[in-house]
Amino acid sequence: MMKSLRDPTYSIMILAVTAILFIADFFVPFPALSYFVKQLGNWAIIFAAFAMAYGLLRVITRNVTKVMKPGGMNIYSIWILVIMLATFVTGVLGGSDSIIYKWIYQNIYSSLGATLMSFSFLYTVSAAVRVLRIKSTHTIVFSISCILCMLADIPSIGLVSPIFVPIQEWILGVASRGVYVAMYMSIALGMVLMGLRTMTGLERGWIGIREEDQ
Amino acid sequence: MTERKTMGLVAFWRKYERTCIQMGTILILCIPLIQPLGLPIPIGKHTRAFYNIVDSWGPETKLLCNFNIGVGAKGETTPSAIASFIHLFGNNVKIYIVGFEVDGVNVILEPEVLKYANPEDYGYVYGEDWCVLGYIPGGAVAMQTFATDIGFAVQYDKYGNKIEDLPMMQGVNGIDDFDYIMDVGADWIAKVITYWSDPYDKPYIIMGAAMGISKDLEPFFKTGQLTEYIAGIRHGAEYEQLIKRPGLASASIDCLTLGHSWVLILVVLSNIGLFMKGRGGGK
Repeated sequence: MMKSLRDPTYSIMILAVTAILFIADFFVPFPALSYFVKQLGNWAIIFAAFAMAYGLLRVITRNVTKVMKPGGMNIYSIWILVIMLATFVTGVLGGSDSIIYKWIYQNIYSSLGATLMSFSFLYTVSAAVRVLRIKSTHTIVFSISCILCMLADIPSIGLVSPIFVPIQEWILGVASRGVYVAMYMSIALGMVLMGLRTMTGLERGWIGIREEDQ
Repeated sequence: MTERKTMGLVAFWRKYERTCIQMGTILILCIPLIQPLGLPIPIGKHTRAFYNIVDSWGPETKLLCNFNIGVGAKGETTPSAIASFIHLFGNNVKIYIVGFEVDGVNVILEPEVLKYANPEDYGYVYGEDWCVLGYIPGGAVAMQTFATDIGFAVQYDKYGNKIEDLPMMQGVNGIDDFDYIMDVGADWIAKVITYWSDPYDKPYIIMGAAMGISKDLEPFFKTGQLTEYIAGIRHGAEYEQLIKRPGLASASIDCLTLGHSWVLILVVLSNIGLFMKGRGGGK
């Protein structure tokens, strides 16, 4: 009996076949396969665009639900809806080169993005003061390394003394390089393992099946 | 009385420590805005090497510029980008600009970079000397497709021209047809190395990475996968000095110097206070 289309087996099969095709294309120079994989890539881009549209719909429904809730208007939800629809409508009607769309992007979105990044510096300063307090042997090494690296980052420090920059280069290039490489290798191995688990259907969180439900 | 006064100050500090630090930071950073200090900066080896690489290019060089600056980091990365573009235009390099993030090519390129580094001031003709292939959605998949078949990945440039109609796109079908890859904003370094520079053995340089991730670039630089990079306002200011066009980065150096110095002073004072508190037996 044919399983229901909602059966996760079909999703896992599609993913496994697609993944095998992409991996095979990387190693096997076969023109027909390359062309088919490129087409699949185009389909993926179209699906991603569709997912954005679906995400837009979800944001609208969630925020409209919040606004319609009894017990007071949610100002933040109203603002999200207003600014989102304004940007969407101006973009669709006028294109990304329209004056209004550019104004919204450059004067609101861009400025706010830069402001948020600037705020993070203030919190970074206060966090750095707390984190770099010497309380044990480990923190002695940690704090001294950080202080030496920060000294080298001062633009004019090279005029005071030329030793700080080589010290920073040694700390970053020799002392911590091993840690960085190990970290990147661990991440890569983890990604390979996760990919294999997903391809073989062992990992099903991406289709909404939690581990405790399996 | 003095002891009561000291205890009052300590209690005040404990209660408002974060606020005092942040207010002090804002005040310190306002000083160079009111009175520029003009602090000199020595040129670092990365900036000098990057400059020498770009200086060696000429009209026959085809450069692929992966323009992926986000709005959050644009304050830190665009000064380097402006200085680099000025240098590139001065050397008549053929520049192909593409983006895989929506912000860079669509929002930041023209008003934040090309406004200050106008290709037309250097006699550049669009389609012959420079072109903007536009934003290509799809992330890593799009990059893979772009690497092997540009015409398949993108059919129209940012301004609606057909790619195949641009004179400079004749004979350019994939990564193999470029001489160098330049990345503006280093968020995509792993993808660029995986899909572009390593498979096709192309030199890869980064122009204008945010300072926060510049430390992540060192491992790639040490292995040779990244040929050279300039990161942050500081390298941007050094680069502006080398091309003799002081701009936004040079104007920001005073703030950077005072900001870093302030953090270091706070850290040292904090540790002195902690040490003295420990010697006092926790009184």
